[in-house]
Amino acid sequence: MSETQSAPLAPTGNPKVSRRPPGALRTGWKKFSSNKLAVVGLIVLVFFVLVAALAPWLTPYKPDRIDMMFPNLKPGTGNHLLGTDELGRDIFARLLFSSRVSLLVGFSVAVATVMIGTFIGAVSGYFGGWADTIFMRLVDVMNSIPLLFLNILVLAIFDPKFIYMILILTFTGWMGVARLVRGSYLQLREMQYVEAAQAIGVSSWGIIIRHLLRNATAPIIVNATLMVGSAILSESALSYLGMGVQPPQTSWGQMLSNAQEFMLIDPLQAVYPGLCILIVVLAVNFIGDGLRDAMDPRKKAMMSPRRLDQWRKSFSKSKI
Amino acid sequence: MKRMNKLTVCLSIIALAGSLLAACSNNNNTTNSSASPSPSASASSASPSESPSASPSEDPNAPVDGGSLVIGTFSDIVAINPIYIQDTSSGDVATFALANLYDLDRSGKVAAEPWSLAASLPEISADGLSYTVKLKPEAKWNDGTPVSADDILFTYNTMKNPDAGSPAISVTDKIDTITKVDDKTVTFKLKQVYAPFIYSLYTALAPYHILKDVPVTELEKHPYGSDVAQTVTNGPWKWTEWNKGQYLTFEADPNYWGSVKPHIQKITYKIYADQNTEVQALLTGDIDMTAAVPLPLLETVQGNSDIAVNLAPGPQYEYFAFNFKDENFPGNYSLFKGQKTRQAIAYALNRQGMVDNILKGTGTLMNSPFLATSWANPGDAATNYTYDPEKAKQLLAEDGWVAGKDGILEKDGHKFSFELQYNSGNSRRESVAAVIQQNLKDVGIEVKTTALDFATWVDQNLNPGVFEAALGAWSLSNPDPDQESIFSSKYYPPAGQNNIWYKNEKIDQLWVDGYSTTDQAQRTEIYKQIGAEISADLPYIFLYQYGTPQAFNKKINYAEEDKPEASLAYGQFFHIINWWIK
Amino acid sequence: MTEYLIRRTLQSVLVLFLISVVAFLLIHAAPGGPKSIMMSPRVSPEVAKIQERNLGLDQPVPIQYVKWLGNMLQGDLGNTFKNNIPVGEIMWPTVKNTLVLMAAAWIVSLIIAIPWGIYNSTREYGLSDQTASFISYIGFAMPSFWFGIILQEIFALKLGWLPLSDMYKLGNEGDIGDLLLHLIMPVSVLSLGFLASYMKYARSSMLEVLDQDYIRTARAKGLKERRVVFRHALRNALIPIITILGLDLPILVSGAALTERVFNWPGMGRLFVESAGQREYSMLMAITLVTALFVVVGNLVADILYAIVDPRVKLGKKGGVSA
Repeated sequence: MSETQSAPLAPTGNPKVSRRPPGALRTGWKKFSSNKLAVVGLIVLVFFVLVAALAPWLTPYKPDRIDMMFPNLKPGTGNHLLGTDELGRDIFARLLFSSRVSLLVGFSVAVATVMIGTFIGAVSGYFGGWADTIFMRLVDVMNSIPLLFLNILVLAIFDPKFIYMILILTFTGWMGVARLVRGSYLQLREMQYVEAAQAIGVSSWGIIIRHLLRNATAPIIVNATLMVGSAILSESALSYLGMGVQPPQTSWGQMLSNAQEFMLIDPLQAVYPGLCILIVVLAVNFIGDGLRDAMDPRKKAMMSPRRLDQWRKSFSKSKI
Repeated sequence: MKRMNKLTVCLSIIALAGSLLAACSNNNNTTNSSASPSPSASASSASPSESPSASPSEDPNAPVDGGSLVIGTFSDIVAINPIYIQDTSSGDVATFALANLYDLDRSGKVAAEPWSLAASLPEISADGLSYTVKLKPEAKWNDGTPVSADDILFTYNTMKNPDAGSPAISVTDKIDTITKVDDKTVTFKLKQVYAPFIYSLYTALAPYHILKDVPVTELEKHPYGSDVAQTVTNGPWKWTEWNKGQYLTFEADPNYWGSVKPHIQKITYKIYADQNTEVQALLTGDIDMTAAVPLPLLETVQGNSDIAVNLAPGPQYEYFAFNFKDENFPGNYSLFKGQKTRQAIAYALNRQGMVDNILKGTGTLMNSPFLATSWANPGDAATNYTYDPEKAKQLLAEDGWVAGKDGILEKDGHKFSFELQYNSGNSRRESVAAVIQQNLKDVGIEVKTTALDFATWVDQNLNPGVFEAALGAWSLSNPDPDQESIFSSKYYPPAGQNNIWYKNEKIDQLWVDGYSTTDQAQRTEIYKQIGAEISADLPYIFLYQYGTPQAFNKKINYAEEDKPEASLAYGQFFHIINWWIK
Repeated sequence: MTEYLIRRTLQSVLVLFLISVVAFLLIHAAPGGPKSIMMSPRVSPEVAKIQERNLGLDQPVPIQYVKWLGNMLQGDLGNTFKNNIPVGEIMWPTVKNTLVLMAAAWIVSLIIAIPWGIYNSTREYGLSDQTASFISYIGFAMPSFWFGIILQEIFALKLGWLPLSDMYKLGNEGDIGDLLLHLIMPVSVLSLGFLASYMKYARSSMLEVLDQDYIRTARAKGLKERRVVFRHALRNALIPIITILGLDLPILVSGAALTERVFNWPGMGRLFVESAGQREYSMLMAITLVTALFVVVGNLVADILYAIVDPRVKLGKKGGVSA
């Protein structure tokens, strides 16, 4: 009986079935693009990236150009779309150029944390043993320190330089990815294809990189996206406290801390950069959510984006 | 004339009695930048009489006792041991809790007020070398111990002692001997005639009976001055609480010895994290006065009908300091050794622009270390550097600087790039630093600005003279023009305040000549020479004399003769003992 | 169980120990180290030597560490270098103030978040659920200090309804009503972030539970939905939330630092930021350790509670893997 139903016969009956199922990427994109919020987020993010890239061509003013002849202009005066600040710097130009710093911090920290986190998570998850013990203790330690404090401490001790800020944000941001990757490696390494690969003599690193990494890509990408948002927020907090971006460089957080002085006179100066941060981080989080839903077939509900991983962790702790 | 600077966290380093008080006082009303040297002239200016309400003539029921005064500030005190006070906040609260040996009158002269410890002005010998001071017989500490000659001896001998590390050493080292004549009388004998010495008598005293057994090297760490319970005081208000980082309270001392008693029952010195919060608190009525309204907020504060704002440049000037010590620079090479280089920088800076736009025209340009209001102001004898970037470039070229690949000037392999330090939280200074950065960039000099916490900056960089360039201010504690301890090569750190390691033998000698006579005409001539010489040689670029707007809630009342005085350090509390709250 | 408790406690002690080492090394790696800061620069070199010896700064770093740890364990947190005041005297009151703020924010967000999240789990994608989701997104994406500044502008400066900053109005120290009034804005700021996450946890945890077989069984038995939700599902759904509360502690503390700064709240976070600016190393170390202690103990308690409440947790295995 079973022979008669064998595959070769089927095509003639129903040609559609024979088509290759759509690739993961295509299904993913389809799911992603049906998520309105995610698409809006993507458009907004692309917009901001373009603005950041094209900033010098979008405004005739330089963000750090002080013009003592025209301080505190109202929005719309002359060519100053949003007016000028107390030193006669064009606020619109500062907003545009700030997006460069904020996005640069966001993306570079995200990329760096993902790389470090993936490496540590992969080593812990695949090899286990003492490497795992050490790394996971380190994760515990890092998770027990309020990270903002650690950032402030380091920047206060070693001067608030831009590169230090990226480094310290990376150094304090990799734990989530590491735990995530470790978790999926713990599961994946038991898979048969890994055993098969080991059997045919593929090296451990080969397996880690070629076989396992590919299967852990989805959660890593989602996590990286959300990292962008949280790095932008951290940067703004540090700059607000005066420990982040230093003049003449400018960032949204720094503009905010500057604008706080003018709350009584010109509250709008504090509104623009705050809104920019809100919008970009929202956009990034929408994208992250969209990606997760697109990549995880089981997820239909909208779930907490940022803490989902932590939550999952707490379960996996008890299950594994 | 509407605004002045914002915060003034100026430099401190109070040379106790001495020439310079670098605290930042801010002052209120009175004179503006016009010329009159004597602050009393300011009494005629418009603002004071109408600001803090009610002058006594109109006020039917004169002063009332009781009430409380809340003063806002943005930094906590360090300690109020008078031997070590060098920050504004500690200096502020010391004026409530500690009586001074002598006080200053409105014109800046040393005076024995009813609340001063001294009974009368010092008797000065004919040769000008010895000063005899007599204490009031009734003066006592609030533990009942009388204030005695021993307190004076102890205070001045400790200040003189290099092991004590007192910032007042720069003036007290002029003292040869101090002798106790009787329990209430002391004679100071000077090594030489020193005209400004009389101002070193304007200081509070440390209690001998509490501190006599403390080793001199341990004194600074002693809890006297930081532990409320152990800090005996002799002023009109006693210190009752220090909630660290939040507030200090002082209550009228029922056992106060003075014949004039304070009207205000309680003074609270409230600390805010930053100036904006402080001003917002002023607007909402949480605090009654602040000595420093940030310029951007000035109009808002002035728009509030409950608040009177007083503007006037105080006895303080802002400077841009060059460090001459090679070790402070990478490659052991001070970039500022060339006189033409320094002059070029002076030409490159748009000082008038700063005064007009940052100080809103309320500051006054300066070309020498003498205030425009001082009798020692050299006027046109000092070189005035107008904004002229072309001239600056030319001078830099003459001094051997050539543009490198990146457009930044270079000489002998050294790039003209340096760090300009200033303190954080002072928006005026932040703005000025940004302008300096821009102005110098225009002539090919790279400036990196660094804002540091004020106390740390003073301790780590200014006092030891470890920095490349600094944007700071001096607040002059008394009207005497002598500033030897800032510019003379005898006063290198750690003992002195010449933290730029500047040496000019001609000027060194002129400062000595300046204080070695008490003849004012002769002194004027000498300070004119100093003005000419120093403005050509430029150890600093003198920027401007400035003040900070002080704001008072109108519930603070005082008689015309007791109103705050802008031209004095701590002048915002001038005669506060006579103020009352209504 | 006892074995688990002991192991878990030992782990916590180890983590604390590592944190103290990291903090100590970090500070001693500072350019110039504490030496350049703790001593008055005005004193002569000879006096400086004496001071150095008094402060123990002339000894090798490991010995300094051991001494410092010993002092810490005896409750001696050191003195400030600025005016030689015991660190604890300044720090402990701020710890208390921070706890007040955090506890208030915590309670408020839990009281709102859990019922709301649970309600939403029973009415997925309804208006209430959408609103909650919107709030969550905003809560995650908005810089908290900015939200604080905006609240101040509106409610304190423009409308004058609420006190602008501080913990008490001067002279009202200890007045509960006044405290509550001062808590409104900072608590709103802090709660927004927590509300967002707690609500999601409550909702998704509940959804997960409602999907379980025993709930279906309960429903199949014909039990009323209300009874199913409250009697059977709720208890199990709350279990994971306990863990999350523990895990969130560091974030809560960090958030409090910014909020304290905006509202001039006399707390530990504000003190930390100020001390960092002044490089008050003893203070920074003390605050770092106290917060770490707080967080580690919080996590420990959460884990233990979790183990007690949830019989499914296989204690031995859990400890084994994470160790």
